[in-house]
Amino acid sequence: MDKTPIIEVKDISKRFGNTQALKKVSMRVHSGEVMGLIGENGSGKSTLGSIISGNLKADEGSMLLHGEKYAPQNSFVASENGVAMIVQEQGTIETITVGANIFAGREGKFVKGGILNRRQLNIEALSLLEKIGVHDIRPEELTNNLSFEDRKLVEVARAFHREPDLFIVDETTTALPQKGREILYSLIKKIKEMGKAVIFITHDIDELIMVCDKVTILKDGSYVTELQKSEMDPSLIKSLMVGREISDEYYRSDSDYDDSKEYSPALIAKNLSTDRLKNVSLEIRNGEILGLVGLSDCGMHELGKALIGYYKDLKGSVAKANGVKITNTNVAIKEKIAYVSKDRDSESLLLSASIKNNINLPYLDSLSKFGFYITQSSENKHASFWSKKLDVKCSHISQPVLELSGGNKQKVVLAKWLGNESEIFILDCPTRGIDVGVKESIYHMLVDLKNQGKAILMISEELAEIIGMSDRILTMKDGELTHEFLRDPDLEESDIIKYMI
Amino acid sequence: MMVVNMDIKKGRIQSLFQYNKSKIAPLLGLVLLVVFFAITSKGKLLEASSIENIYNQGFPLLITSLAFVYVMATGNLDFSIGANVGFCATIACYVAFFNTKLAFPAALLTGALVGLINSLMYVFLKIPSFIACLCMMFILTAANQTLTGGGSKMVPVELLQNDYSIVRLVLLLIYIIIIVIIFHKTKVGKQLEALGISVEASIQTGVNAKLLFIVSYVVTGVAAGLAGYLMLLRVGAASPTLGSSLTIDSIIALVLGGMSILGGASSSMICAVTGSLITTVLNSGIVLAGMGGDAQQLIKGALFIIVVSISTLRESSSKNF
Repeated sequence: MDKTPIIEVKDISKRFGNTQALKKVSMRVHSGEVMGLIGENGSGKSTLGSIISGNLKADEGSMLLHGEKYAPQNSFVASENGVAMIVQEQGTIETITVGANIFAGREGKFVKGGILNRRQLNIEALSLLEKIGVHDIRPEELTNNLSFEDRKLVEVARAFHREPDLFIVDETTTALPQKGREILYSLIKKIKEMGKAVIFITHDIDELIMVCDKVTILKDGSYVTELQKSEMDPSLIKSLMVGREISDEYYRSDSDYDDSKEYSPALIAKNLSTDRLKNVSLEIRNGEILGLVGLSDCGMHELGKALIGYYKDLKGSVAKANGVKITNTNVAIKEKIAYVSKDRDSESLLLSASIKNNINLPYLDSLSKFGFYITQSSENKHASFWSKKLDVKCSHISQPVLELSGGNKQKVVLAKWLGNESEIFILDCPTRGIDVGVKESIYHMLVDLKNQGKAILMISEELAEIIGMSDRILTMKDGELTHEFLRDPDLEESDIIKYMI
Repeated sequence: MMVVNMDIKKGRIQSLFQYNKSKIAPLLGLVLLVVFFAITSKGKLLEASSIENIYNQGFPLLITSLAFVYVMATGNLDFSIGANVGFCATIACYVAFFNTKLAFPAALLTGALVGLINSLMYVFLKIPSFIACLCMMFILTAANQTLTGGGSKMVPVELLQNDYSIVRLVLLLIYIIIIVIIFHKTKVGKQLEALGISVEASIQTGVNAKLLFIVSYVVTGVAAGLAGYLMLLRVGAASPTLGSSLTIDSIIALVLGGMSILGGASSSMICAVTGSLITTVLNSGIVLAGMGGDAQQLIKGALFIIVVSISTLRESSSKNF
């Protein structure tokens, strides 16, 4: 192909403080192409997407859009030029309506004589949502009231409305349930057929192979190689990304339920009910990984929070094996229960605070001398010990967490709870948006914790991970537990799905 | 090996600067301001009498703005702090007629009680803190007006016989030590800062949000009591407007000192110190340099803008507009 590419990126470099995020990366995407962009956390793929979409400025290098020099001041200029991006984390304005979000910055076409025609705007928003296959979101709704998944779809609609020449999708699918993913895949196909281009950033190698025509692989901010569709092979891509061989089987090595062991209960929940949960009882046991799986809206995420006493209107009881009732999150954390939220950025981390302050927050009592005085050195010691132990890639423990990549953020969350000497771990989608390298290390860590006799509840939408890691599996549907499976090498995904739908 | 060590050291200093820019820039602004007025006042600013004057004028602001950090760290504001200062002074004045020894504890207790009521309205009645404190300000102003009869109420002479400047210095030092240690060296300060960044994440990490909001408002209340009592001793009379400008001045001081009005990670005691010094030096400097007369407010406004723009240079690179 020697026609002009839609976008050509030449020798782009970018630094954040002491971290070199991109080193002279080049890439070309032609019309009608879906270019995959893959690499470990911190490999710079999101950074590259952000530079193309005008959210960040490159330190060095140049870009050509349709063969002309292109250096967007901000994302608005980029979208005027036909480049739209859907970001990994939240990209909607929460306090305005869905319709207003879709047409944000383009309200002009609905203004007559200085007055905004809201009705017209909502009508168009609705037809746009219908067009992309979303039928259950109302344009008048406040964006705040939507689930995380639906907000992503609103973003998709917004980006699609502009009919961009270049559409950048940054790990959006990890936030979407199956239905939403299909909507996105069909949109990508449409865009491709219209002769436009897509840059698809993801961690999911199977998805990448399914969706993309070509893939660019990045490692530690540098370009590794470009593969054509015919060359794409999961284990090849993995090893290129990580720079070493990764076994296909990175889950646990043992495959049977070990019934010779005595599992003592760690946390006992009885008859839990909220508006999303119906009479749920379960037991998390020491030395065991309990998997909880279901569709995204089945109530399993709420169950995770219910177990740490988060809901004030919870009926039923949660108690630790020592008899202490878990009535609120303070008690839960004092009783050494760790909770990792699915919504990492807004619930598990203080984004603008340093790595140090994030790790130390639950442990401040234990860092205090004479019961109240915290020295700088004790803070530094605790935080740097745990950030090193989990191999958090950062320039300094004073670095704000928001500068870290997704996987490193998750490592900070885990460092925080390990540092707090947690005994019971409630992990809601602990590997969401995280690449194979870090995923593998999280799985290893879970096995270690299990072997140390800690109790683990892993809530996940990924069946492979649930089957690969759990001793026992609970399925959930419409707020109720529907079945319990024991670890078994013959267990198939289809066996489990039956109890989820 | 040496080289590696040097590199690490350099990196540390770099990151120290990088993550503290918001505190270093205002210090620079303060230095420039002092130099500017030292020159325009022909050295008068640096004379002992001027420095004493700055101390006398600035200490109430230092007291209130230090405490204000506690509230602002969580992203809240205490709009009643100025009125509370005046109210505590008046209560102390009344109590002094019965027993001079009880005047000081009475001021602290009154202030703390006002702060407690503010926080209870916010935490349990779920009234937005802004509204709760604003209403409290009106109530306190009215109460103070009534108690002072709309004019000055002189304190009993016995109260003024204490060795004022030593008492003040000692109280001030004790106060500063305690308030700085609690904010920077105990979990209270760190948790307040966490709340300012994300209430949700803080609660999920075991921070007792309700208790800490209450603590923050009780701290500003106690500070109002202390400032009220010391101002009463200095002025010798309670009055309806005593301390009323301290609310706005505290907010301005903290913002000038490099703290975000939304609280969170930028919260630091040093912001209160730098900010209240900038504000006080600015006020005294204008007078000493003989500027103004009628145009004094105008000059003050212009200088404020210059100081703010110097101290906000840090952000200009990251803003897109």
